[in-house]
Amino acid sequence: MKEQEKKRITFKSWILYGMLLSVAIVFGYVEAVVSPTIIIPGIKIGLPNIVTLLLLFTEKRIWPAFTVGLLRTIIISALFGNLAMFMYSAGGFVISFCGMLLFYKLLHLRMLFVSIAGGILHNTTQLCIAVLVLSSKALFVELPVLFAAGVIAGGLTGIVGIILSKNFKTLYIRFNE
Amino acid sequence: MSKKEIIFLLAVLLIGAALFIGMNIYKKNQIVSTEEVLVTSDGKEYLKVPLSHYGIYRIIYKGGYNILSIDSSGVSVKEADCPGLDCVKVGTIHSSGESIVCLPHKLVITIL
Repeated sequence: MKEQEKKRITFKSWILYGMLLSVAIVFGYVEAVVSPTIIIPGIKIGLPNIVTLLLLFTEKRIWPAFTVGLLRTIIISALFGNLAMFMYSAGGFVISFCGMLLFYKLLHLRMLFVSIAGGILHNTTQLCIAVLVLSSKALFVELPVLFAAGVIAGGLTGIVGIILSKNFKTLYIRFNE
Repeated sequence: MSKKEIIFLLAVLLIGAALFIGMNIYKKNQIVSTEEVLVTSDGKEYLKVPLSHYGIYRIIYKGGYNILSIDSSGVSVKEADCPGLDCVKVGTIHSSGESIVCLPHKLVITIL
């Protein structure tokens, strides 16, 4: 069994992960351009999370989804943001990833619900980090709005993920032949 | 939709509703408003003036600036040199509990 599993970490897998990382970064770029014009400042759609969802749901291993997600957070913050943005993005990603892992592997929810959970956790974590960094509990008044935004963003990215997942599975199988 | 998923959706709905109701209760309890503007920079109190002290206040943080304006319509950040200018886009706040935040400058402006 271990022999088979070792064979699965092929060179082709790395190419796929690299491609997906690039896709996630482009999503991040699109967000960086589009988001500032949305009504509430600081609200993003979470497009790169689509890549995380696809990896999480097709791979049996957990580390590709986590590593690609962490790397895209670092690169997006480095290219289109600043150190402060990285703090919020990284914290948000780690917690939301752990949550999505829990909801998917343990509770066996489908992609849409896992995405919603991820969106909520990401926004809530970012708010908590902001409260800690700025030492201001007054910021918690934004929680209801961020919660709702997380649900909506998670829902939208989840739907896109579902649409893409069928073709992605085909691509994934072809890559690992 | 499985039972777990229905429970999940209900939980999300409940938590969301609880948050909105909680926020409304919090705002209604703000009857006693000192009508002051509190500016916190990097977690420490930088400036605290009554809402009636109209004027322009320049807030400096590590080489960056935000220009705060208090006038009859409320409190707003007129100008800043932070990327994104989220603090300017918020516009004018005028009620107790509302706040303007500039994350890159670690700035929080609240109406008490």
